[in-house]
Amino acid sequence: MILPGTLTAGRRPLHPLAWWCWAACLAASAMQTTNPNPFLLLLIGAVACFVTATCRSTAPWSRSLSFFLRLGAFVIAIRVVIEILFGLRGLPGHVLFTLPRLPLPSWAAAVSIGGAVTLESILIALVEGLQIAVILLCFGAANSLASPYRLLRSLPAVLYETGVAVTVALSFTPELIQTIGAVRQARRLRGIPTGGLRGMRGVAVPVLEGALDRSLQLATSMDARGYGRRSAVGSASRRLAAGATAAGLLLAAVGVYGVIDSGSLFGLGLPLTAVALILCATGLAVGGRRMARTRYRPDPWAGAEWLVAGSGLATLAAMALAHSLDLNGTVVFFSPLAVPPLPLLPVAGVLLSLAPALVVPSTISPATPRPMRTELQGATR
Amino acid sequence: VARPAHVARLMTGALLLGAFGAALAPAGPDALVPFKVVADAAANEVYVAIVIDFGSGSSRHTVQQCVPVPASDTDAQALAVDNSVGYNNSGLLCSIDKYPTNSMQQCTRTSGSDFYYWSYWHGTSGSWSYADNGPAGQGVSEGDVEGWAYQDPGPANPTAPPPSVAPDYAQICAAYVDPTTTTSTDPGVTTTTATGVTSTSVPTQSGSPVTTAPAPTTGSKPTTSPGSAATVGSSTPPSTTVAVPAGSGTTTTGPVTYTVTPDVGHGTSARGPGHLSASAASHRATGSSGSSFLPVVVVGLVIVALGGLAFLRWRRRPTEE
Repeated sequence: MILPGTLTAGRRPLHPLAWWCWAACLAASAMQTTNPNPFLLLLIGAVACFVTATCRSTAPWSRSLSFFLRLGAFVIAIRVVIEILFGLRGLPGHVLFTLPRLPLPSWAAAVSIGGAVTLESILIALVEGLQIAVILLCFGAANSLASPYRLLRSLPAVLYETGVAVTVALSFTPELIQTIGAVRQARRLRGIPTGGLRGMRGVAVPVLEGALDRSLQLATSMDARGYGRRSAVGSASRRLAAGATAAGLLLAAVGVYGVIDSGSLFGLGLPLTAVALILCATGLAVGGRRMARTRYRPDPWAGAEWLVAGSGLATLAAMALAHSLDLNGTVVFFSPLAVPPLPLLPVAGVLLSLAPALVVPSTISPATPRPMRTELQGATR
Repeated sequence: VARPAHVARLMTGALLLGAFGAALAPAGPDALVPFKVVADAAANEVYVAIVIDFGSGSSRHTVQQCVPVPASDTDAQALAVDNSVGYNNSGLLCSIDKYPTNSMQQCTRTSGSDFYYWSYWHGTSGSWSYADNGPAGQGVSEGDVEGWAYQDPGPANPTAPPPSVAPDYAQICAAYVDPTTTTSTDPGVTTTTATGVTSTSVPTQSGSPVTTAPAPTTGSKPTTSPGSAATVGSSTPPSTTVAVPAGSGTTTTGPVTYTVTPDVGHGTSARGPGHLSASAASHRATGSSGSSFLPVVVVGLVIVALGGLAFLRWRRRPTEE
C-alpha cells in the first residue's frame, strides 16, 4: 500500500522534523509571556496559516489546519464565556454590563459568579484565548505540513522501544481528521444528518474508534516489519537502560520544577536537571545499542530543511531577544486601557517565518479552483 | 411501559438540579434569593483613606488621599479613583501612577528571595497589617484605610516594611469626617494650607458633615458612555493637594503629599455626580496614553493581507501530479 502523500511527483517533501521545528518555534514565540501582545499573536497565526496554505500537499492530513482553526475559535469563545460568568470582579474598568451576582460566603471570596463585566476583563480573556488558539494553530500547521509517517521514520532508534505509544500519539490527530471526513461523507451519502447535536453524536464514536484503530494498525504493521526488533543483549544492559531512563525522567520532573520556581528545592534545580539529562542520555545510548535497524531511502536534510527550521529559530530568537531587552510592547497590559505599542524587532522576527512560503515550491495550481461538492471527489479520483 | 429515554432524561435533570442545590447550600439563607442584584447596594457612598508609599527607591512623596466611592465598590476601585493603576492579565497590581516605570516588563521581578512589588496593607484598626486578600476582594466601608507600599525589593510576607505614614483616618479624611477638629488635632495641615491650597473648592464642602442618607437610585449607576464621562470630568473641580510635613507620631523623613478629592454633589440631594466624577477621574487617568497608531495599523493590514491570501490559497486544490 502506498501511503498518501509519501509520493509527490515533481518535488520532494521536506523533512517532517523541519516543519515541526518551525511550528514549535512559532508556538514558543507565542508563549513567551502570560501578557502577550495581541497583534503579535495575530501575526504569528496569520503567518502560520499563510505558509500552510501555500506549502501543503495533497495528503489527507493537509487539511488539519481548518480543524485547528475551528478549535481555536471554540477555545476563545469558551474563555470569554467563562470570564463573563466567573471572572475576577472588583477591579476598576469600563463596565459593559452587569450580570446578577450570586452572593457567596466569605470563605469563598476567591470565587465570584456574575457581577459587573468590564471591557478590560473581556479583552484579557480574548487575548488569553487567542494565545491558546495560536499555539493550537501552530500545532495544526505542523500536522498539515509534515507527514506523520515520515516523522516516525526519522525518530531516533531508541524511541522504538516505546514505538507503539509514539506511533499512536503522533498519528492520532492526522488520522482523526481523515476519519472525520470519511465518516461524514459516508453519512451524507446515506442521507443521515451530519450537522447539529444529533449528527455530532453519530459521528463522534465511529471517528474516535476509527482513528484509534488506524493508529494501532499502523503500529502493528510497523512491529510486523521489524521496527521494534532488538538484537540479543545481556539482561544487565537492559536493566541499566530501563533503570537509567526511568530515574532520569523522574529526576527531570523534579528538577524542572526547581528550575522554574527558583525558591524551591534549595537551589538544587539546575544540578538535578543536569543529572537527569545525563541519566536519560545514558539510558538512551545503552538502549540504542540493542536496535539493529536499517533505513530505506532516508529523508535528506538539505538546504530547504535548514531554511525552514532556521526561519523558525530566527523568529524565536528575535522574540526572546525582544523580551530580554524589555522592549516596550512585548508585554501588554489592558488595565489601564491603551493601544499597545508594537516594537519592530519581534514583528520582523515573526515575518522571517514566512520564508518557507517563498522558498518551498508552491503546489498551488493557479487555474483549478476546488469543485463545488467534495463528496464525490474520492470516487472520481 | 415507560419510555426509558424519557425517564433517563428526567433523572439526569433531577440529578443536575440536586447538584446545583447542593453547591448552593453552603451559601446559607442567601442562596434562597440567589439572583439578588447587588447594584442596588451602591446607594451609599463612603469615604476611604488611601496611603501610597513609593518606597525608598523613589523620590516621590508619600501620597494620602480621601476618596468617595459607592459602598459596593472594592479597595481596587477606590485606588483607581484618583490614580492610574496598572494590572496585568492575572489581576496582579503592577504599577500605581506609572511607578515603577518599567512595571509592564518586570511586574514579577525578584531579587534572591525578595520581590519588587506593591504590598497591600489594611490600616483600619489604626496600625498597618499585611493584607491576606487582594484589593479586588476587599469591599470598602466607612473608615477604611488602605495602604500601598512599594517593596524595592522586600519579602512577600508580613515582615515587609509597611507604608511610612501611620494609618490615621481622622487626619486623612479630616475635611469630610469632622472638619472642626482638623485645626486642633493636626497643626501641620493648617500651617501649610495657605500656601498649598490650589483651589477654593474645599471650603464649600467642609461645612457639611457626612450623612448616610440613601441616594436616589437614578444617580447610583455609573456612567457607561465615555463621552458623557468626559463632559462630567471637565466640570469636576480639581483635587486639592496640600504639602504637609509628616504627621505627629509617625516616623517619616520626607514630606507628605495630601490629596483630597472634592465630591461635587456632596451634602446635597444628588450624590450621583460624586460617583460620576470618580469614574470620570479614572477615565481621565486611564485614557491618556500617547502611543502611535501607525505601527498597529500597518501590522493590522499585514495580518489581514496574509489571512486573506491564506484563505484564497486554501480554497484552491494543490496539484495532484
